[in-house]
Amino acid sequence: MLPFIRKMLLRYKVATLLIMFAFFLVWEVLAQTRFLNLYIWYFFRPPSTILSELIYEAVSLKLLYNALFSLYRISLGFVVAALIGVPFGLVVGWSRLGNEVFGPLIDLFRPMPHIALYPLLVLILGLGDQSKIFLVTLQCFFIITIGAMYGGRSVDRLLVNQLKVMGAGDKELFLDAVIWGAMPFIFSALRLSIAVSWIALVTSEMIGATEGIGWSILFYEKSSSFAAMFAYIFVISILAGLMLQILLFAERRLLRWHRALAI
Amino acid sequence: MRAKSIYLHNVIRKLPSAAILIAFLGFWEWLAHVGFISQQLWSFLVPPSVIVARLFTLFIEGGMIFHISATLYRGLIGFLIGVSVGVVLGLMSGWFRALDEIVMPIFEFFRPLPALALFPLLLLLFGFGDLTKIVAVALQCFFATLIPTFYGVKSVDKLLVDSARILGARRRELFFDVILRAATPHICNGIRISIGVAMIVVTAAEMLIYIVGQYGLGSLISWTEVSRDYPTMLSSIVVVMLLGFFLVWIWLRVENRILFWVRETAAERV
Repeated sequence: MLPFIRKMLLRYKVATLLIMFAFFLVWEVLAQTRFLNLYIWYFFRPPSTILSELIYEAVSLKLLYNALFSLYRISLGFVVAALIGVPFGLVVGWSRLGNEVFGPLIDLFRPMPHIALYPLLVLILGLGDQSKIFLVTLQCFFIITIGAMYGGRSVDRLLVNQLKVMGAGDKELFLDAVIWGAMPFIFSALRLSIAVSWIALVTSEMIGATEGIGWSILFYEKSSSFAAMFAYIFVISILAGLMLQILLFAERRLLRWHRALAI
Repeated sequence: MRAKSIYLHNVIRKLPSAAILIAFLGFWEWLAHVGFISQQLWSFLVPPSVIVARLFTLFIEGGMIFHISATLYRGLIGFLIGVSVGVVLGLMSGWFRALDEIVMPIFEFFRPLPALALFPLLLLLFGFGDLTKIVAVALQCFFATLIPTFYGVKSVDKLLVDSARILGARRRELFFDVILRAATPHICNGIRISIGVAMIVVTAAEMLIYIVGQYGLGSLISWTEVSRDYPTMLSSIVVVMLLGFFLVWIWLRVENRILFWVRETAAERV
């Protein structure tokens, strides 16, 4: 346990923690003294109040309830998008036929703000979980697909030819060269789609939901309990950061051979 | 002659995709024709012919131009503010070690936070007008460019920097001629992502809060849904999506010019 703690301390430098602490301390002091009597201190409650509100939410299990709903929606949407998008993109990028048939279509749909489809999805799937999951899937799917597609397209031709000379069949070529060559692209697409999927989820929950973190933020804003609102904002920040860290961890593990940027 | 044949090749390359798209739209139209979509059933899946007709009406007499320009105005101003602050701050915190250690931890903490989560708060601070939406877009674009720029500066080849030093580059030259150049692909990457994200955020923000009569494509989508004017709703969805596509398309052209020395074309980077 002790070496683990030491390693964590070294990785997340102590200075970083101190600066974060200083940031919240300044906020605390300014909010407590109502600096210059600005009206914004009515919204920016001191962090201690936010923390106590967070603890209250956690103890009363409201936090768990809302977080679980949000996590369920986002992880299902994200996983489905990744499970469909990665193989589809790889096949499309690798095969000449797929490239010609689907390439331009994916290029067309990738930069569109699919969030605009949400009202239509609500009409088709209802205000429940399905429409939110589907929105997250839709928004992520094209990003992930295009990542895998360009990954599959940009596999080193020299490597492929060498493998062919050494007698690799199509199956081995795909499993051993294409997937690994595309991996850095796939991971950068996954990182982007985590950020985008949280935007989609929060928006859809604010438009219409009865539970979830996005809904809680809007609910506590409407009921003027701004400390609780901030508590949920921090919860989103932590959960999204956690998802990102898990992904980065997987990336570091899988892509040891690749000098990847930790963006 | 050569240019013409490349152009022709590009058109031919897109034919199968166009065929799929047209087949899908035709199927949709056929569903309406058969009666699967009617006043009583699935009435919101307005067939494409009706959408196109409504698009014409909206553009000619429906003030669609005002909706588009309102959305573009919010999106572009927010994008410009967010991107310029993000790039400058990213470059600076990559260059000055002190800034890197003091400012970046705070940004790293807030980086995964979607700007829309702050939207209720922004609403209280900046009201129902344009400013709220602009700030939301700016925030999201800021983080979308700050992080790639920062890591772009950090990942500049040490050999390059040392060589420039040995050749007698001063700090200023080192920054503008070596580091800025080397970080440009990353900055462009961040900007391209920001364009897509800006469209998402501006649409979402307009959909979340609107005053009836306020211009904006997102608001148009929301209040035509509420008032059950489905042809207008679907046409404005089509306009938003095409707008998002064209903005990125224009940027890709610009990016190809800026990054002419990068081997793969801009579109090949995710």
